[in-house]
Amino acid sequence: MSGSRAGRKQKTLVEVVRRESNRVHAVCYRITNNSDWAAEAFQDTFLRLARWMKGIPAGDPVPPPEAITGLVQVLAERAATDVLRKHLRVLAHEEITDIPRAAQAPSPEAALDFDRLLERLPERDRRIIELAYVEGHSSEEIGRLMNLSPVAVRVSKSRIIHMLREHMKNITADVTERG
Amino acid sequence: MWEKFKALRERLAGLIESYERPAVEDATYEELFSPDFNRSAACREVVRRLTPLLYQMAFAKTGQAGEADQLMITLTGEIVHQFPAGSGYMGLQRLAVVIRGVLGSEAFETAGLPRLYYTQLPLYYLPVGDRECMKAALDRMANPADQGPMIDQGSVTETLRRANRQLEDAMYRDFDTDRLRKITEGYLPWERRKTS
Repeated sequence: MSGSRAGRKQKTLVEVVRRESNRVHAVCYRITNNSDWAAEAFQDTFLRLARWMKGIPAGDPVPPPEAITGLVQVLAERAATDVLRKHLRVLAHEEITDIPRAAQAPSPEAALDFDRLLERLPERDRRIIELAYVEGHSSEEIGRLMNLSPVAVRVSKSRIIHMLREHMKNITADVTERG
Repeated sequence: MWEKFKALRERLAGLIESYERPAVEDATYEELFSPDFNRSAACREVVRRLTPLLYQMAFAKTGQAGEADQLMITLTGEIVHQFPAGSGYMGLQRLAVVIRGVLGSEAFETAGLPRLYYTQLPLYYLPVGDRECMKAALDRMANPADQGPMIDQGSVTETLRRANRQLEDAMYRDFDTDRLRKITEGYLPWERRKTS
């Protein structure tokens, strides 16, 4: 009996892969915009689906392939977002370590001032900026880490960025005038 | 730090903005008043949200529904014309100047209405379901004559209790309390309820 049930799950999974693979790949590619990352997310999607199917309780019926189209879409979006986030973190780390300081800084004075400005930010604001732009967390993740609502994180980020941008504009203008 | 910030900002900007820009009906007031939003859409949304409250203020001034309607037309025109731009945080306060200019301070200060007006700020930090329930309750408070459709009182009471807790949380956790006091002319935050 359980063998037949496992067989039904297997059959459903094969059918879902056959029916949905084009769409899943398209979703993964649209989100990651990179064929290697899309392939990784593609595999991850169906692994997640297999895990989900394995977890269906013994008493519950195995859903037909057409009933899990929406789930597959959600799984593909999540897998692609996770893969993208993972790779962007790696890239960001490489980029930080690879950037020659002199080539990137607008001017030594401005960079120094920017550092000071960041130091002067309230602890909470500085932490939000670090988590968002250095570690690459989403607002939901930052909210969980800092016990804030995602909306508060979103609004704070936008306010801080606006403030930093305005400040840097003023600094650059000052340096240009003096230079 | 500048290098990190610049490189990451450029790399992540498109991604973050496309994922995190809220729909106009979910945006906080700070976001609606900021330059990132389409001005006419933001203005329409602000007017939509505030209309029940503003009507009550207009009614407090005129005492007659017909005259209140006329005043609402004038007020809406003024809001559209003078829709605040610049720092999002002060948007509601600057809009209050416009409202006072049309209705007069007395109508604006009618019992409890300024507090309901400024409660709009933390209200949009609540999850959608709780926020809608809370907003309906606040609008009903602003206009007690409107009893609304028959609804399940038990679930509404429970949702409102939860929404009230979240509203307090938003005021004390998500906002800097001193700044909240400053941007709401001292009407918020109210005293935190003691939890048993």
